[in-house]
Parts: sequence; C-alpha cells; structure tokens
Amino acid sequence: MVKRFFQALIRAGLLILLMVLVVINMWQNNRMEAKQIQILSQLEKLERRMGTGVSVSQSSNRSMEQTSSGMSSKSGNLLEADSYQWSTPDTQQGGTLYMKMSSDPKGLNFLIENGADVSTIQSYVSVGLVERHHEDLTKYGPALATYYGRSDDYKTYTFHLRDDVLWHEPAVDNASGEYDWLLNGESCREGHFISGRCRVTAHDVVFMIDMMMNNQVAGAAPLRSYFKDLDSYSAPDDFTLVLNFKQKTFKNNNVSKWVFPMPEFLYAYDQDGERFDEEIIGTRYSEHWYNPNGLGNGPYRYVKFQKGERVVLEKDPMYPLGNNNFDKIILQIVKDENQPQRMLRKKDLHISTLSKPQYRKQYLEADDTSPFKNGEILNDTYWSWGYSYIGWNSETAFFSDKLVRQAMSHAFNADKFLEEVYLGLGKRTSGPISPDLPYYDSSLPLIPFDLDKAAQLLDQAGWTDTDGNGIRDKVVNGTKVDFEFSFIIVAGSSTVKTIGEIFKNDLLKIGVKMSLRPLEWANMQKKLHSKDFQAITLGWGTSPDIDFYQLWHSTQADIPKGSNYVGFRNAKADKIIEDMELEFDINKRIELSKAFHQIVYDEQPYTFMFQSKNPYFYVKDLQNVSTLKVRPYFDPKPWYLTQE
Amino acid sequence: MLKYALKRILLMIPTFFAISFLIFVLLNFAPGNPGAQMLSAEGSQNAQTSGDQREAYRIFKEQFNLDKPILWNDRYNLEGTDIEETLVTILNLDKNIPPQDRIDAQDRIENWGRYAVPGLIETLMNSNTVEVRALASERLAINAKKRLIGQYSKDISPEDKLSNKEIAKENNRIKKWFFSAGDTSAEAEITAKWSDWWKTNQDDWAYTSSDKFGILLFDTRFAKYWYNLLRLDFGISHLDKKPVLETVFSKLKYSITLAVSSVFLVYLMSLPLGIWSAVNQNTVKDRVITAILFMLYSLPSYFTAVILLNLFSVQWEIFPSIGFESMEADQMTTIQYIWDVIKHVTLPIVCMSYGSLAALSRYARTGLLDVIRADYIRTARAKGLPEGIVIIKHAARNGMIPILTLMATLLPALIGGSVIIEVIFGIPGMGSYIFESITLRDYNAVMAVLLISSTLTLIGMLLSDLSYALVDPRITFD
Repeated sequence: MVKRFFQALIRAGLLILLMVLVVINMWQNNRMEAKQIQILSQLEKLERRMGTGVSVSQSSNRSMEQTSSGMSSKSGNLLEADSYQWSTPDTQQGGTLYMKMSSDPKGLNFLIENGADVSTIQSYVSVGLVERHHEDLTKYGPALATYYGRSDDYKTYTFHLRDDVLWHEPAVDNASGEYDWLLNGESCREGHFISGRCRVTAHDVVFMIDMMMNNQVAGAAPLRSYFKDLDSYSAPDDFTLVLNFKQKTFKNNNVSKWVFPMPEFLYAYDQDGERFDEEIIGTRYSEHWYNPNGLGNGPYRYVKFQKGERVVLEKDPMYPLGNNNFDKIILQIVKDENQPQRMLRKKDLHISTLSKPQYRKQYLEADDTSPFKNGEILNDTYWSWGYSYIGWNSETAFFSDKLVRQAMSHAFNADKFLEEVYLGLGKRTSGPISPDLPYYDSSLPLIPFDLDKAAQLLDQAGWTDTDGNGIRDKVVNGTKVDFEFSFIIVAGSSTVKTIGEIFKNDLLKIGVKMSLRPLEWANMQKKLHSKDFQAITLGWGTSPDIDFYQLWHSTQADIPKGSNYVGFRNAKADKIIEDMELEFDINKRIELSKAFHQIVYDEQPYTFMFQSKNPYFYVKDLQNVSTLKVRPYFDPKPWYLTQE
Repeated sequence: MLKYALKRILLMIPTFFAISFLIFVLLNFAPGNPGAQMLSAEGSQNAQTSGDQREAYRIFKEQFNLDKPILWNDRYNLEGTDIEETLVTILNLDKNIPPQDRIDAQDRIENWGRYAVPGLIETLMNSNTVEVRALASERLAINAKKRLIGQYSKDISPEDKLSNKEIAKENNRIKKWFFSAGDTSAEAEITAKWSDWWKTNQDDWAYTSSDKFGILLFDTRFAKYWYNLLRLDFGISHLDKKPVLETVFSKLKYSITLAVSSVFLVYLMSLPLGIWSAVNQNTVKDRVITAILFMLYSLPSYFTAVILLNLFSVQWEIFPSIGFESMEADQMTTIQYIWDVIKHVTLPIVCMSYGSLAALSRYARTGLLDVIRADYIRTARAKGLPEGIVIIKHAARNGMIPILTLMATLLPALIGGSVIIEVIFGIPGMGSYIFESITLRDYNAVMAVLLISSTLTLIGMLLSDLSYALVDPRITFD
C-alpha cells in the first residue's frame, strides 16, 4: 500500500516537473522571439529611412526635369487644374484611419475585379490619368497625365504623363530571395528603375489596354465592351500615349479617360521572372500569381490583405501629388450589418455608413445621451448615383398603352413611401437623369399621387369594369382580360415588400389587381432576359456622363438579354439619342437631353422612384470630413485625425 | 476486426462515387449559372451585352468545362439541319421567336464548340438564306478555333509551347474569315477559303465508333471532373481562380480552432453535469438544471452573440468585437499570438457551445441512468464500495460509451463551420465560404467542400463503429 502511494507520488512529481519545464521552455522561446521581432522591425525602419533619404534628392531632381519638359506645353489641353482645396491650414499628418469594407475582395487586380470594394481600394492606392473636378463634374483636372488633347476630327486622343510617379514596391515575401528579379528591377523597362522602384510609363497604359482587349481576360469583358470603337493605341515615347478611335462619338470621348496604367514589370511575368508567351498571356494574366494582392502608384501603398479581416495600406512618402495625411489606412472587413455601430462607439472604425434599421435605432430613435446624438459621433449624408424604378413591360397587353403607365404612376404614392419607408433618405426623380445635373429638365413636375386621375386615365385607355366583379377588364385580341398582373420584387428586401403591399391596396381601390412576386436575383434575371414579366422594380446605377443608348434605344429592345427590357420604342427618342452621340457642345447636349427627358416623362416606360441619400457617421477625432460627389464617395484626401 | 475495417473501407469507395455523382448532378441541374455574374450583376448595370462579352463568357465556360454536356455527349451526331435550325433561331428573322429560345440557341451553338464545325460548313455551303450563311461564317471563325494545349495548367513543355504557336497562328488566320449578309464578293471569297480549309482538315471530324464511344462517356463534365478528382485535383475556383483546396485549407485554421475548442468545452462541462443530474435524478436540483439547460438550448445563438458583444465588447471592452486575430499578428511572439486569438475567439466559442451543452448533458444523463440499474452496479454497492467510486469507476465508464462514440460523428462539423457566428464575429471560416460559394454557383468550391465533408462523415462513422468494439469488449465484428 505504501509502495503504491510512493509510486503515484513519484509519477505525479515527474509530471509536474515536466510541465514546469515546458512552461519555462515556452517562456524562453517567447523572449527570444520577441527580441528577434524587435531587431527585424528596427532593421526595417532603418532600411526605410535610408530608402526615403535617397529618394527625396532623386525626386527633386526629377521634378526639375518635369518643369523643363513642361515648358514646351501643347495647345488645346483639355485638362483644367481643379481649384478645390483639399487641405486646410489646420491639417495634421499621421495616425491610422479605420474604414469599413463590406465584403472580401476576390482579388486585387484592378482590371479584372469589378467589385465596388476593389475599385475603392484602387482609388486609394493608385492615381489615374485624369481626375474629375470635385465640384464641376463635367470638367477634368490633371493627375498622372499633365496633358490630354483631342484631334480636330475627334478621333485621336493624346496623353502626356508625368515622369515622377513610381510604382510601389510589390507586396511579396522575399525571405528566400525568390523575388530578387522583381525587387531588383530586372523586369523594369531600361532606365526606369529609380530608387528601388519602377517608374510609371505610357507603356504600362498600353499594357493595360493589351490586357483589356485580350479575349482571354474574362474579367475585363464589361470594360472591353465600351472600347469596341478603339482602332489603335500606342506609346510613341515613354511618356506619351495615343488612342485612335474609329469614329467621332461622345461616348468614345468619355471612355478615352477610362484607361489607366497597369504595372507591366509585374503582370507580364511569371513567378520566376520569365515573360509569358503571347498566345497565353491573357489566361496567365487572369490567373496571375500576384492577383490576390494589389499594386498601385498612388497616395497609399498596398501592404497586405488578411483574408476576411482587413486590407492594410500605408502612406507612400515618395508620392509626388500629396494629400495623403494618414500613416496608415485599415479597411476592416465587416459583413454583419449590426457591427459598424458598435465599432464606431469603440473607435474601431472612424467612419462608416449604417444600415437602415441601425440608422433608425441608433440615430433617429436614440435619446440625447447616445454617442450618436451627443457629439461623440457626427454624421452627414451623400447622394449616390442611380435611381430606383418600376419597369412596365410595354409588350404586354396591360402596359402597351402609355395612358395605363401614366395611371400607374399616379397610383404610386411616392412621397409617402419616401417619407415613411425610406425614412426620408432620398429624393424623387421624374426621369432617368440625376436631378443634380444640368441635363435634368426641372420644369417637369413630379407626378402627384392621385387615384381619381389614375382611374380616369384607365377609363380613357378602355379598361373598365364591365362585368361588375370589381376588377377592370378589356377585350384584347378578341378575349376579355381582367386587369390582373404580377409585380416582381427582389426577395428578402423588406422596404420593397412594404411598398409593394401598400401599392397593391391602392391599385385595388381603382379596380386593378396586383400580386406580389418575390424572386431571387438569379430567377429575376431569367425573367428579365426572357421578358417574361409584367412589372418589376429595380434600380440603375448612373454616372455624371449621361448615355441613354443602352437603356432606351429601340435596337436595345430587340437583342436578347438587352437592358431595354421594358421594350421602350420611340422614333423621336432614338433620333435624339443618336444626335447626342455626335454632339460635343455642352449647351446643345443639355437641350437634347431635356427633350429626351420630356419624351420619357410623357411615355412613362418606368415609374421613376428615388435617388437615394446615404447617411454616414464618423467619430469626432476625424476632421475636415467631406465626401466625393461621385464614386467611390469616400475619399480620405481631405480628412485628418487630431493627434493627442 | 481488421477484416471488418477493410471491408468497410472498400465499401466507402462506391459510396463516395455515388455521393459525388449525386452532388454533381444536383449542383449542375440547379437553376442559375456560374459566371452569370460576369454577364450581369455589375455588368447588367453598366455594360452592354456585346459579342465581346459573350466571347469572354465562352472562354470561361471552356475553361471550366461548362460548355460540355453534364453526363453524356452525343455531339458527334450533330448535323447540318441542327445547326441551321439553331442559327435561324438566333437570327429571329421572322421576329416571332421568344427571347428565351434565342438565348438558349446562342448558348447551344457556343457550347457545341468544334463539334458544330461540319454542320456549320454544310450550312455555309447549302443554306438558302443569306443571313444564315453569314452567321454560319461568323460562327465558324469562332467554333473552328483549336484549343491551346495546357492553356490552364501551370507548366507547359517546350514542345507544347511550339505547337501552341502553330495553333495560335492558325486560329488567328481563320479569325477574320467571315462576311456580312449581302456582301456577295466577300461571301464568294470567304466561302472558298472555308471549303479549302475543310478539305485539308475534315479528317479531324471523321469519328470511328471507338472515338464516338470515348466522346459519349468521357468528353463530359462529370468524366472530366472525376478524372481530375482521381489526381486529387479539386480544380480552381470560378471566382478568384485559386485552387479550391488551397482556400479550404486556409479556412480550416479558423474553423478547426472554433470547432475543436467548442467541442472540448462542451464535453468538459456536459459530462460531469450529466452524471451529476443522473445521480440526483428527479430531485429539485436536477429539475432546475434541466430547465436552465433547456432555456439555453432554445436561445438562438445570433441573439446571444449580439448581447454578448454589446456587454463584453462595447460596454466593458474586455474582448475585441471583430476578427480572428489583430492586425499586428505577424509581429507577435507565439504566446502573444495565442493570447490574442483567445481573446478574439472566446465569445464565438461561447456562442457555439452553450446550445450543445444541453443536448450532450442530457445524453450523458440518460447514458448513466441506463446502466445505474444494472446488476453489476448493485453488486458493486453490495461489495460496500463508496457511492462515488461506484458512479465514477463502474457506472460512468459504461454509461459514457454512447457519448464518446458521438464524438466521431462530430468530425465533419470541423469543416462545416457556422455561417451565422462567422458573419457576426467577422471570422473568415468555412461556413461563410460555403455559403458564398453556393450563392455564386462556384461549383468547384461547393463540390470540394461537400466531398471532403462527406468523406469525413464516412470516416467518422467507421471510427464510431470501431470505437464501440474498442471500448466495449462485448461487441465484436468477427
């Protein structure tokens, strides 16, 4: 018995000893690790300091060249410097800005990924050829390009690029030296490897167009379709880019500004530094080894993307155009709609939008002690480009008559919906153009909610209740049809459902029976493509560069999967759309656009609903907060953090 | 025992095949197309559905074998009349064809690929309608293209690179061989070119019956998928073009951490709890615990998650509100990193655990109650052993057998993940990955995850059967 007790004791003792040893071992390892990390980070800092030191003198040299070459300036530069002041005298440098991203980017190759989040990152880490003015959206200012000119026949567009913009250092882990070829500039063009980085040249833009026009690059297809008219493109010298289009159209004028540089020294090469063969470069580019990461040439450098967690950007001190006040920008990935308000309270986010229910709960219905009300967290709004609408399929017996469509618009209680369902976050529009643009005809009144008028219009159109069942009917092609139709809405959207229910009741009052049909996006799309619907509600994203062709030209109603799925066909409208393609004079364009607006207003192919206003919230440490009038809306250029 | 295990393992092969067949067929016949986003989503908002875009979509389908029929391929039978009919549908000259039929026809002619070439040539030569002949020439310029060798694989041999150059040259040559309707001189010239081309190339389409058999069974989506599967190649994702397996493994880090620790926690708490309730069966204490556990069981985890977050993260700032690790994770020592992760995952683990606590402790309670009335327990008590020893050493050991074998069936849960918890706490695990893959019809990703988890289920079931025999000497498989 005693022996067994001692055996057990010894066993326990050994076990405890072993555990103590393990703990000591771990602790020691940990201390060594900590030291290693410290040394490494010091080394890194040292390296960076030396790097910037060299580069400052370099870049001042280059800006001298810049001014001298800028002297021989060309005539007819279409770029005007934007007088808007991004920074204020109080602007402070430094700090880390935390912003929200609502999805995981699939990749960060800016040409083939088209998600909104990816283009937001792109706008922070890269600089484009030209930049839209902050206030006057019809004007463009210089950015990477200092000159942008157009030939007299409106077919050739020429850019001159700055020569002091460098590509950032690629975000590769070069522990084993496998990316020496990349970091040592072996793939840079001859003479363009400056202070450890490759210079942005016109060849990089040519490379981007090469990839965009390559059919193997599936991700570029949406963009490619806009460049159907592009005849040829070239870089006659390292900083000049020439685009030739087949014909003079206003659209080509717009798309000429959409090209941007793509780092050829990186994307044209495989992981070992060997250039891809021409036959398969498109496929290889689409699946490029660097695609999970991003590379830019702008105010902030892409550092890393921790999947599902965050994207980290840091200031590029060598970026010549400035306006990068923060040391770091963290784009935190937040998928749950209820999280942002919590994170704003904890300053885990500095700025964020809130979902509608959260906006109501945290702001509208909050009491004055809530940080959202007491000045801790401030708010403002921005307008997004686009409008929601109900599309009436004019190829059905119900909606082929414009009187019926007008009646539907009169039966739609838009003001009430805006106030009560949308919490006032939006404004009504009477046509497919943003009310903020000069192209919008503001003399056209918004269609008022008027059921009597709607009933009268339906009577006029021949829809009357002949059999006394409470539902209007009409003889169409020899058979009597009751006015019963289904209204397709996106499944899962409570706002649209609420609106649909009320609309349904209002219609019933004037003898029209509507049933709601919630569908998922894939099925909804199928209905649209096969034009197998009567009424549907959706939204379009728009831009300040108006172009009616895709949505409203009658030819677009005939192609399968076309965007004119309501079947809007109007010869006068077609003529206006075609004229606008060729018209470059802004006043005449405004005139034509207003005439088009009037036709659409009269025809009511859609019942136009709202342009939406989006509230956003930011912590009070974040100063000089404003948003852009165009996408991506949030641009940290003017913002800064007050430093303690 | 060994024989039994071997038999079961061998049986797993046909089971696995049947599972993969079922999933594959269900997935492929489900409505919605992979890559449809490419033609729509953002695209429908801004871009035009142009020929260019279709071509990119065609290449996409080709890459993922989506142009192939799902189970069998009889396209070697295609005739001139099939082709002509399809072209007539696309052209819609009489303006009376429903849009859906035209969309289907367009897809059909694209998917037929090179199998359509003999029919297209025939149509080009013999059709009576000039528009149909023009469209046939347009299609030929695309459908007659040869695929590059190893275009989508990582390594290409130098010989293949050379033949690719030849193929690309040939493809470029025929790319421009089409004419628009009504241009008679161009038509004559182009038709002559195609007829010469056909004379030199027509052997490619002279199928023998063994060729036909091979095409019928092996040039299909399912056969191609299985061919890759046999080499453990789960393919690449449609979305990020990365190998699916790589992504799955990168997600495992999150899901395994959460699943293993919550399973561990649940067992650690529910076994003693179950035993305790069994001993105090039908007393007030037992009833109170049961009531509390069932209340917990009925609380949905998304609700608890929000409450926990508001309390522990916003109010008291004990735990971070989002993520799996901090941004500085790569600059931390191992211990700091572990501590960082523990702080991040505590709340999610609590949310994932408390629900199963109720279920498992009930299992433990019943398990013990089953044995506590057995003869040998009475014998043990009769021997004069203290009640504690009786319960712990004699009863619990046997009573817990069903609980321990339950553990094996939890194996697939490791890879399943939890969508809701992952979304709320911003953890990029398997749950949200599967969810996204299904909604975006990323076939390869869905297939890989489902196949891996069904394999784990099979293995788990085998293990649980074997563990019965191991822990209970009365059970034998021989």
